[in-house]
Amino acid sequence: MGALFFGSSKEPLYGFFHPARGNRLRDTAVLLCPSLPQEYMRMHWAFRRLADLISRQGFPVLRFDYYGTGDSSGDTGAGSLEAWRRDIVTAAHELKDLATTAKISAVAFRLGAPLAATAPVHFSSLVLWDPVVHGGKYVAELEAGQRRVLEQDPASDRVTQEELLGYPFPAALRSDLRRIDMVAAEPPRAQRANVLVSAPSPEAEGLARAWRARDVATSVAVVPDDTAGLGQFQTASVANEMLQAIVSQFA
Amino acid sequence: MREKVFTFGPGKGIVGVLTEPDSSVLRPDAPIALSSNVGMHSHSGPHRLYVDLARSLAARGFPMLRFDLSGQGDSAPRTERVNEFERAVLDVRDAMDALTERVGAKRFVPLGLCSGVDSTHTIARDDARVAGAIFIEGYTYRTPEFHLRHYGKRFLTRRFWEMYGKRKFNEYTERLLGRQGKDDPVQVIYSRNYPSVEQLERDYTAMLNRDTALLFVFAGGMHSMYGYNYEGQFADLLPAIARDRRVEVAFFPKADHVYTALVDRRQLVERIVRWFDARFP
Repeated sequence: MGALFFGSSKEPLYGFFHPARGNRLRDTAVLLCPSLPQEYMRMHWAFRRLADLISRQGFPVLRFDYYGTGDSSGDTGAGSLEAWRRDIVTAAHELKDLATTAKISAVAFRLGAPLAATAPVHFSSLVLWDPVVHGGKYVAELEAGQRRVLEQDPASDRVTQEELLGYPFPAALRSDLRRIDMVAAEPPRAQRANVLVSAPSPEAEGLARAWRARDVATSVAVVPDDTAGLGQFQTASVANEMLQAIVSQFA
Repeated sequence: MREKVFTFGPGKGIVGVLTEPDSSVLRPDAPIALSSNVGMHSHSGPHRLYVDLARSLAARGFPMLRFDLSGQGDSAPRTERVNEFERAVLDVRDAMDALTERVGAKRFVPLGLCSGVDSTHTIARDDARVAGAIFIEGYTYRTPEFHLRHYGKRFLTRRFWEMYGKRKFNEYTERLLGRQGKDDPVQVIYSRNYPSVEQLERDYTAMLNRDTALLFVFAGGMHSMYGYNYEGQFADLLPAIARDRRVEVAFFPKADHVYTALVDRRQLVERIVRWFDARFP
């Protein structure tokens, strides 16, 4: 199938469908939920590779761009957490149609994790890759990254308060992001969740405990990899170790 | 403005997005802008630059195709045995062929940023369908004035000479050990074949002889790495080319290599749109 626009004709989303391959075709499709927006740019290649690897395990896979990101409609900086949650719902419906299945799992990276976990979609299982458990910490990381950039930039006076690492980040979005708390939020409807972190994470452990207490079978595994973080925000990542670990969840 | 997936090339494996203007603003003979990847970034461009540019151009009546080179982004690899540069040239040609066949395009404006300039340069030199070309952060050479501006008073500091001595010592040691430049994967990946100044002049002359409009865009914010730090540097390097009425040079002294700051990106997009307006009225 390949690349496609889907969703509303006024505000279409861009996606790429990878049909299932191999001899063992599965009855579950996999939706990949990327992060936003600096990490989208950094991880685009890794997501293509991940989709390819999972599809080779017999799962149909859809990756997509949220509103206001990548090739989807909307101005850069125009999105919101609510809009992006809706995009996950739209993408899940599209994937069910494309794959002709009712069962969907999701792999969600960084900010994609709280979005996927709270979107009104019944995922069979969730794989959360370096999830943003607390939005306040995430915004602080972005702001620290921005400070580092500005310290190295002698002409930093022309960078506005409304942008972070090359993208518009209006105050309302920052405020919404700061309110993200995956531990306190309603757990997902998924029966099980696997959290993969590239470095030991007390936050991820705390999330797993909270979800297990609410009957979501949740595991945490550390997969040493340098993909998380925003230090190299303009450098593409291949994330080999993490991709292999994620694919093994589907093998 | 409408956007649609546009696939082409071998097995239609090359993937792009074609942005078309509304019929109310469409210019019948407008050339189609073409962009592809910058390094490992996908066809949406660094910080979504090419999406913003495509939509801004479409608002002024110009279509644009942004696509992933074969084997990159969303595109499938080619099977021909060609090197990376030859592959990029084949991909751009395939894009022009497909747009000619399927939307009746006659003229094109390829644009490249950094390494993307390599294929843009070759296509603009060799293909008569190219009506204009845009080179962002493309080929440049350091001039005496560049060095004067870059080093300036630093020549007089002790630290400058300490660092200079250390670098020369390291180079000498590497040479003695026979290791210079060998087996360094980073060097292999990032090394590019830069044409000489003389070759550049010949190539640009060939483009101009076909009446191709040329826009050269340079940023000065990372000049120690990318080698451009004053407005007139292009004219100092290639005075005859710079004087040609079909040539324009834009310089953004504070912008970095991929126009990270919003204001820089906005100004870059506006500059390119203005150039299209003026050159293809």
